[in-house]
Amino acid sequence: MAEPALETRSLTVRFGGHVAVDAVSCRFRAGELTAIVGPNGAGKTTYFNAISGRVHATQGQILLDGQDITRLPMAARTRRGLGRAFQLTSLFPGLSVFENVRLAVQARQRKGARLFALADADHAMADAARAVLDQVQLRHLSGRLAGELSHGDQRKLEVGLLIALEPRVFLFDEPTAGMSADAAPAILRLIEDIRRDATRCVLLVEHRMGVVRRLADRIIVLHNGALAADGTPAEVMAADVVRDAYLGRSLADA
Amino acid sequence: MVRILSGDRPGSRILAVLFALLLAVLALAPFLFEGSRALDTAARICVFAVLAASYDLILGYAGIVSFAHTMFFGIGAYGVALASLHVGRSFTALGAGTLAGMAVAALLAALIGLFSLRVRAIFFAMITLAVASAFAVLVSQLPALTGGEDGLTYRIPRALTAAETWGRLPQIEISLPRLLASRGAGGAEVLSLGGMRISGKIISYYLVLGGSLVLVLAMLRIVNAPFGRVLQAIRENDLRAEAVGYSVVRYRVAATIISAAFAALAGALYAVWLRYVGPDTTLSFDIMIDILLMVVIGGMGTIWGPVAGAVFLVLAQTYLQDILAGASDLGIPVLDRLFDPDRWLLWLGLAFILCVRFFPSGLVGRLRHGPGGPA
Repeated sequence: MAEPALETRSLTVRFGGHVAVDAVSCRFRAGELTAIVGPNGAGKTTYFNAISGRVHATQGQILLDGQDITRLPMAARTRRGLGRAFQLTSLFPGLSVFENVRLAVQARQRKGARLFALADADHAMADAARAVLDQVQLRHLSGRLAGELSHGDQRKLEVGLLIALEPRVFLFDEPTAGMSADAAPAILRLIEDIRRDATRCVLLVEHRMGVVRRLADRIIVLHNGALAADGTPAEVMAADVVRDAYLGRSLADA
Repeated sequence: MVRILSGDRPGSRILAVLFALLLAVLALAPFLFEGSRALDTAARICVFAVLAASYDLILGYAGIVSFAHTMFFGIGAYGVALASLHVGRSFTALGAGTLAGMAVAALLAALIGLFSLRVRAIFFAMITLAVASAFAVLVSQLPALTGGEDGLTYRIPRALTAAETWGRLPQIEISLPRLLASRGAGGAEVLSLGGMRISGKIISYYLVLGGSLVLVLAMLRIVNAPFGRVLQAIRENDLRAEAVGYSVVRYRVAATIISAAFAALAGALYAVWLRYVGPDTTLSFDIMIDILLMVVIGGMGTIWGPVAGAVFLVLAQTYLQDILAGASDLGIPVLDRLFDPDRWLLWLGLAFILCVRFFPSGLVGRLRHGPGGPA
């Protein structure tokens, strides 16, 4: 079997006496979309934070394409191909939509340290940024400040930043949280576009079971920080323990 | 033209005209105004424009609050002074002193940055304050090296002093029409222009002006380069900048170093111009506050703004007392007391408060975006 794109080995995150993530071992393959579900406080976001480098793992290892990244800072992990969208949209609010994407392109093209080149004269960056804006359908808002966009458009822009980074592993933390019913499908379509590429590995924290069923190849369930179930959507949803304890009635009704 | 400005125009037609006018006045200053005071003011405008712009690199672009900026300015100035004293009166000394000052400033900035830019912004500000205060005390307590409170006077190459004559402007005589001439004083029919002696002091002024122009344009370039965009990204959202792949601490340290180097260069120009350095002229906390005001009043994060702020503040500090002296002679009882020249700081303070109240994004921000600040 091919080497996993991302792997955690007994990954543990402890805050004082509280174990937020408890020895989670899991492998994620390219071409696969894995949904991470579980009740609030199950450790889903902390698991993401540990993988992306926002919090330090207390124990265990994180491997990206077989390379140990456990001790690397966040920026270095991003440069190695790990892209993350946050639960609360994280953009450069005072800069234009175009500038937001171009900054991601610039990071991808490793041009940030150029001190005397003119950013505006770099057509390779501008073209790449425009292509991404077309893909996320924000081209017509290029000149607007990111902070002025609607919540839905801001989410799209953050996905655009991720696309511009061309990562191999995408981490989405509740991408449709707080979105209106008519804005959510656009985001889901973008995520489907991303996972269509078989070289990419997508991890998704999501509460809405409809979304999970539509997108996921695989579901893992976290409970009290530990891995409680792992399998195809059909398998996980069939497991009584999972249905009763962690997914509530929504699944049974569906 | 736009290429020289790195594609970063002043931002509005009025500003473009004002800056063009400023450049023209500064370029012709030795011939437009009489006396050394006007030329001294023009030179200080140049030096402080560079200093304020270099502070804008970290405050306005990278969003770092530092109180050690005058320290770097002072290091540049003392570099030139010490080199001129110990190497001897020569251009080599000026060059070596400038480079040494720049190197020391950059090194110190790197040390402060590496040790403290990882911590929260408020702690960084406190650390810079402590280091800068310690440095100022050190300079005043080491009279053998730095001249202590008295500072240092030294000699710069004769070619840059008033004693040297580089030449004279050609004399131009213009015959005036009789009608115009008859109104003029003494009824002279020939107007005589030029013939002025070009002293080394004037050459020295052009050295300061030229150097400042190059430095400001270089900073304009840096903020419009990919590097400058990263600084803005970090200012806007450091978590996102890190998550996009920029090592935030490294960029902050680099910005601090670059800004310190430019401040040291401004200090070197000032030292060449004054032929004197002392704690009060280069290291005092008053200057730190002046720089802060220049950047805030002019408009943070624009480079153009701090230049405008420097012009405004230097002019106010130099001429406000004169203007008040004129106003206090009107013979109106209460107003005469209010406009007493000794109260100039009161009026300057009032002007600042009004500025910050009505132009929160600075003069340049206001002229770029209208009353509401950045739209």
